[in-house]
Amino acid sequence: MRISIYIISLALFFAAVGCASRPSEYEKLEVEAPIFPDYAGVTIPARIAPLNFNVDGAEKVWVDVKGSIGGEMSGSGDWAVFDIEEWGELTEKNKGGVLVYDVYAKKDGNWVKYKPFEISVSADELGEYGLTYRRIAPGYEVFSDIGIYQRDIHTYEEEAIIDHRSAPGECMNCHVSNRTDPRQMQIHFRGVHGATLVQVDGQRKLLNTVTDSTIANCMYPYWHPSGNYIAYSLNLIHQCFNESNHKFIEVFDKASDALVLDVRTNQLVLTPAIQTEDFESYPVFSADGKKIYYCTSKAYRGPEECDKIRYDLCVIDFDEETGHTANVADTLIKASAEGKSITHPRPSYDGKWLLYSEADFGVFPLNHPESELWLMNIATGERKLLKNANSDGAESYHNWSVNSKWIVFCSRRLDGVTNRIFITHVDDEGNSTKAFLLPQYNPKEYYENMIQAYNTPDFTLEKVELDIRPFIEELYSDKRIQVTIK
Amino acid sequence: MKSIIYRVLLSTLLGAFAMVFWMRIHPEWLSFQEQYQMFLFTGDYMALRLSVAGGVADYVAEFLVQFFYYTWSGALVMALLLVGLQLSVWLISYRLCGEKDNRHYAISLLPSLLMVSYMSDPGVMPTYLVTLIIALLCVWGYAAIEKHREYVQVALIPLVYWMTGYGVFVYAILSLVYDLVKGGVTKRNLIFAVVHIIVVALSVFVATRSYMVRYTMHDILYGVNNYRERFVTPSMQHWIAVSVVVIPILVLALSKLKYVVISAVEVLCALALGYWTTNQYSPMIWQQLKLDYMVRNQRWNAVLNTAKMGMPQTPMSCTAVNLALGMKGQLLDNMFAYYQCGQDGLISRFDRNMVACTITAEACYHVGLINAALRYNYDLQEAIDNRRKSCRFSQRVAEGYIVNHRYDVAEKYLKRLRATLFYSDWAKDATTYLYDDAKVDAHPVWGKLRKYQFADQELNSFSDMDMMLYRLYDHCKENKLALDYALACMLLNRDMDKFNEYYELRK
Repeated sequence: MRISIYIISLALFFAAVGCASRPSEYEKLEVEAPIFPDYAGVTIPARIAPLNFNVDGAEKVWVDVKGSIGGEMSGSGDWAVFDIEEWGELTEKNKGGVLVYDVYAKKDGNWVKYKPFEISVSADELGEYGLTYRRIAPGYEVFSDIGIYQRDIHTYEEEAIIDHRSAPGECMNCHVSNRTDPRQMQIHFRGVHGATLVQVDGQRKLLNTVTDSTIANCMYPYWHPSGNYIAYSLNLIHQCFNESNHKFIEVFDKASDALVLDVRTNQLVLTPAIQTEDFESYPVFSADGKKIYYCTSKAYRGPEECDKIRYDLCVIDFDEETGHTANVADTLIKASAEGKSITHPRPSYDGKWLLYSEADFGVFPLNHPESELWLMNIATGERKLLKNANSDGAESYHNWSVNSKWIVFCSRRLDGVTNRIFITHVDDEGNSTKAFLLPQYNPKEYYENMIQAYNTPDFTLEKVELDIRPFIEELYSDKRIQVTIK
Repeated sequence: MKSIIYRVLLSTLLGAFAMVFWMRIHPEWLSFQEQYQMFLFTGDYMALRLSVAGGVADYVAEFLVQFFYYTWSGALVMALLLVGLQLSVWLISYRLCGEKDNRHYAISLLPSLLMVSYMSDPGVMPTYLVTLIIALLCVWGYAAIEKHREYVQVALIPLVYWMTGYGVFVYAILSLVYDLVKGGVTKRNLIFAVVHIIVVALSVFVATRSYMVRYTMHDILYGVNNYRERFVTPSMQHWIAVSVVVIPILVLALSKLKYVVISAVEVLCALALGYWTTNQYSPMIWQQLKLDYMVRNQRWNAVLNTAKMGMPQTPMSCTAVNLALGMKGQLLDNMFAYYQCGQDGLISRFDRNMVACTITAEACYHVGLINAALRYNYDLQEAIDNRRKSCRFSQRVAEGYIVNHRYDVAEKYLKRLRATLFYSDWAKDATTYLYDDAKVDAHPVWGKLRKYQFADQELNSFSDMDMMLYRLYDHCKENKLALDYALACMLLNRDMDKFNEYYELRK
């Protein structure tokens, strides 16, 4: 009995060694490896989780990675798997350089070697702990498995901040922190126990943001850099459904306004300039907190006229002392005149760029395959398409890293329906690099099996802390602080 | 020998009752349970289920429920489960009495019959039945242990909690009763009883702080999937649990009484209870679900026959009848021979629950509104109260994506379905259509649905439903059902001018 155990162990050991050795005989192919995700030519930050990948049709894979500055490593298995520590050291060592990949794949019992490809390692850090995002089935009117999660970007570890298990039946959305710092964050809950959670340095409060003087709950949020205010839009959101095979769904507002919440006093600051008969949406503070950028469109009747709704990009001065905006706004980009619609403005934290989505019409770009990411140089007004980061699919839900060098965004490029997270690098000239799909341990299996979509991804400087049980008790107690009007 | 025959006879009677009940009286119950779950033969799925308290019972139950796909196998599984519950109760009674006392065998039927009655509530999950059986079998196993019982029990309680969740309370009380009855009320046994309770509390506490940290206290105490809706536990769940605990004690007490009269009363009571349970299934609920079951299986004549015998006057049943009439080409001729409730009886707006629009989803599919069918089926799946997935709805979702050329997305659903037992062959076949437009075009149903689909943007509109359906027909004149639905819609909206104008086209 014991002897047979030894024999089996030895056989397994040699089998493992056999699998884990570089193939000595192979056919050399002059084509690029058919890998998923398509990581060839992307730019990554050092110490990102290893970019494991699958080779289409391969039984076994062997990959040699060599740094242009120094160091090398190998990955192997049924798909290319790399050791996290070793990978971290290699990428760290090759900051500003490239990693050259030699990919061998065993197909139909024979090994082949593909043309090498490269990945650039940026000299710019991505120092954040990771990402936060919502995962939700890309449905229509109903949701079941919904949650706000955080992911360590240096490993594959994901955990729920709050999800359907703790708060069944509650819709949760818009987890937003202040300049990626989770010590100041907010999350909306919709449903029977609706509320807006605002948590500052571990002190949390649950707000009821519906008032007689406003048209809806507070919706799309953005923190003031001081942490004293959150800018919101109030949206009466509707959707309509298409019966042809072009677009399944169109989301539009029946009305929308913008305003500011004073977090210290729980007061909403109303200003006529951003609460007009037109639609105002997606207000965000400038990096210095002195302006609010927002999108505005003429009010059209939906759904019949929803293809006429086009948003321009505007800016208005903001007085940090009073919480009021100026009375007159400036139009930065008259997109409607160009037959376009601008949404989701996101200023970089260094104050240099304004990142936004541009689509043919509408308020919800992810339903528009033509939606692209653009940058505007705030100082010069020059606009730049993020050519390398965009794709044929829709792109939106973008946010900056705290050093304003990396952008995380959602794209539907993989299947046209399901949002996936991509990250791209932006240099000092506003040029983007080819975006890379959020790494997973076994990417093909993960993304093939994952029916849920990601949305509202953002970087998070540190791990988000939410004491779940006491919080759920508070949420279900329905005790809310009623916001008032200033 | 006589007693064995008596026992076998009663258990067989229970099994036969269950078979007839689910094969003949309420086959829709089986279909209903089956269509709101998706058991996958994958490691991830197993790990997901087993990661919570009560997960083993839930996993076993879901494995069994997939056999409800066929009425005969579903009825057989239910018969076996109910007999299994009855035998488990009896085995414990038998251990407790410590003798071959068969006189009160009929009492052991009580929990199974209560269970049949309880299951008339569509929210009750078969998981609860399996939970009780596993908990009772654990008690039976524990009773068989002779050495180191205290240590075994300390290890068993957390294990039973992990396997059955709520079932641990049944297990703990019954095993405690067993120890006190068998060992007497000694100081040692009383101390052990306290330890016993502490270990139960500790098992629950550890769960709240570790593997169940993300779940609510309701889930932790009453089970994650004993009832479909979260935060709901009907009192009947507790009463059935009480019955399985009390019956062995009752048998012990009754064993000292004269047996002939008592046994006869017990048998009569069981028969009466059996009859009573069959009347607990609300026609309002189950008739509608029966229509859905028939629509799902495209048994159009059965729908119309059921409707003729009387049916609940609801939009859901009306939709079923109108669809059956439409499929048989009799919609305009015969629709007013049945109850009508306006346009909602043809195609209704999505109601955010998992049942109300199942038939509307089928109507959309057959009439050629494939995107609406996709949307309804998608949302029906998302509306399932316990957040499980559905093979039935996933099939339609995959079909919707295939017709729409969204093969990448369809493949995700087909991959899931390939990991099931009864939908695997269908999914494997459907997979061969992916990325092959010509093959899809040649498919008898999908090809037709592609032809029917609007070529240009067409927003789904309830206020303009009749004209939308007419435009659907106008886009592809083969789609006669769309024209019938458009005309029926005009009739139901009492727009006779429009009806007369468009009725000419039908000729």
